[in-house]
Amino acid sequence: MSANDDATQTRAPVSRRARLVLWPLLAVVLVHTLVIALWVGPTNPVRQAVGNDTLRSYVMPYFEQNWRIFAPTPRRVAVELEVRAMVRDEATGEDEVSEWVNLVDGEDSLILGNPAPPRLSLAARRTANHLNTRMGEMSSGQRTQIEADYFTTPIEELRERLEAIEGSSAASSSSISSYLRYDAVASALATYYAAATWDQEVTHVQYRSTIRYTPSYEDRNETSLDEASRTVHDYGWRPAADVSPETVELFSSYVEAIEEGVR
Amino acid sequence: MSATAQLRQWLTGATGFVEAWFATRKNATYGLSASRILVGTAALGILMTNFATRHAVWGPGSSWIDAYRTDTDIGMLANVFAGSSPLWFTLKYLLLMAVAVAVIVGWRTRASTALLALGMMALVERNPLVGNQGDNIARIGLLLMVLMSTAEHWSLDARRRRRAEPGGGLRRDLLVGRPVLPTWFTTPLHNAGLLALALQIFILYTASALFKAQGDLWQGGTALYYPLSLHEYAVFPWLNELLTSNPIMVTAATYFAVFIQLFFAVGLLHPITRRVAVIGIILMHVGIAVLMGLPWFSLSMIAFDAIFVSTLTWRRLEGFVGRLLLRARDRWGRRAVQRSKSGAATTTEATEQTAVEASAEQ
Repeated sequence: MSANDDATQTRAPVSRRARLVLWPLLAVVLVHTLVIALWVGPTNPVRQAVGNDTLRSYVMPYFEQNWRIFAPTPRRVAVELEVRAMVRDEATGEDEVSEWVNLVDGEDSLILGNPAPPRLSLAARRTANHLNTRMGEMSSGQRTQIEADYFTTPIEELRERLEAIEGSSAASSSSISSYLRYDAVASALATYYAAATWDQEVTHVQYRSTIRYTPSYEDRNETSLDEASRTVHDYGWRPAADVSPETVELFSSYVEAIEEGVR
Repeated sequence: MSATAQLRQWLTGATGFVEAWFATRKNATYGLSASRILVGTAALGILMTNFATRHAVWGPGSSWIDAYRTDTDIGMLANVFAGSSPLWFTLKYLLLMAVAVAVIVGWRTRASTALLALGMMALVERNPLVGNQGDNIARIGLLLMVLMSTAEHWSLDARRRRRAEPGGGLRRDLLVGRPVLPTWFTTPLHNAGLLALALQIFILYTASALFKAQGDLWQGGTALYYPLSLHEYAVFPWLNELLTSNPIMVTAATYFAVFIQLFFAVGLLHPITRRVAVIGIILMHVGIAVLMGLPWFSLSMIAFDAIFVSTLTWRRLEGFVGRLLLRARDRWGRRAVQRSKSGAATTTEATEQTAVEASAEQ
């Protein structure tokens, strides 16, 4: 690939067969590269002419990539995902509500001092990222619906209720679908955590997410990230996810890994 | 000479150059051997550092992510690591680790490389929520490497081929791992894969730089301060603090990250700027690895930068490392001699023999 390689290269005659192979191969490489470049780059007339779906069908899943890492804005928010659970006391048959536990604190402790942190240091954190983004897209009417408890009403009805709300500030149908996916992930994460920690039947769970900004560079000496004010997003109670004792046992390595930090 | 004649002459020269580059020999075999070892190490590193929590992140204890899993379409690969048996999952996981080792040592390299690409894809796509772009570049690179000869150096395949007796027919060729397809096909294929990989890297760095350059915080020279202040990237908070507390350091590092990526592709055109570009980009990735706790992401990136290091440099490095190993072996041998007086003669003989072997391998 380099200048040094070329220096020793002799121009031996290239066989006819090799020539028949190499030119089509070169064409394939150039077309492939053009497609990748279009996929990676911003929207432009060429990309529109080719069509996003055509690009996607070629790129996904084997050549999937996105190079807007920390761009145009670097990551500057700290998020939290807190969970609590309603567990049934088998002796009395009464429901008890646990304390809030901040899973992201636990995940932070997996990173501190560990040059190669495991990927579960991102589980609750990235769930919180997505929840915060989706909540930012909801109208106040939709947020009220999300904050409502679902004790006996099936959670599936939340979708209809969110979609029934109209208005220019209301989130789109795809945004609602996305929220409901992360609602399921957060509820499951809370259920697994509760089941692995409290060893009782978990009936309902609740999660909440927060977001705070790193102080601007100019203010770095006056204030710190930990002093920054948090925006809290609340969500109602949700039915516990369906979990088996075996899967809870297999999940418990996460609970053990973050244990030190959530205490 | 007329203009058309000049053009024709130029075209003949250009086609001749392209044909010679594609068909004369396989290019960058040293760099690609380094890529193979480094990307294999990155995969092995991912598998090792997530081993303790494997069930909860990808295995049968990861059903908390089920709602998100429906997002990705990887076809049959989705089934590879599915299933509820932890034992079966662990066995497959260990097998994938073995495949990563096979890629590192260059054993049945082409098949191992394909298996590692697909195996890692099947595994990490079980939990796309916690993945990163290192997964993507490693997969793309490994898939392209299937088209290339990446075990010409520092590999078990190369050693086996070197030691094998010539002749023996097709079956023997396959067993030894000697080429069975004609070079008029495999050489252009290798070089086409290499070109595709190089162009992929150019797209990656140029796009990363241009997207960053649009941002106010990157332009203002303070971008790096923000992520480095987060607990998410606080492996060694004092080290991040050390960098971000000095305004000159913050701005220099922020601009360095943008410019080294922006000028990477064009920098390769001249021997001097090529060295600056390659060393600079490696330094940037080492910074990301240490400061942000992303070693495997960084290693996957560095792996494919290795193709831009010249064969001459790789051979010098090989000689240097070879001499170091030789000296270490020598010293170890001498110590063994001192320890055991009775076996002195035979140990020295053995040391000499390994020294001869080692120098023959260079």
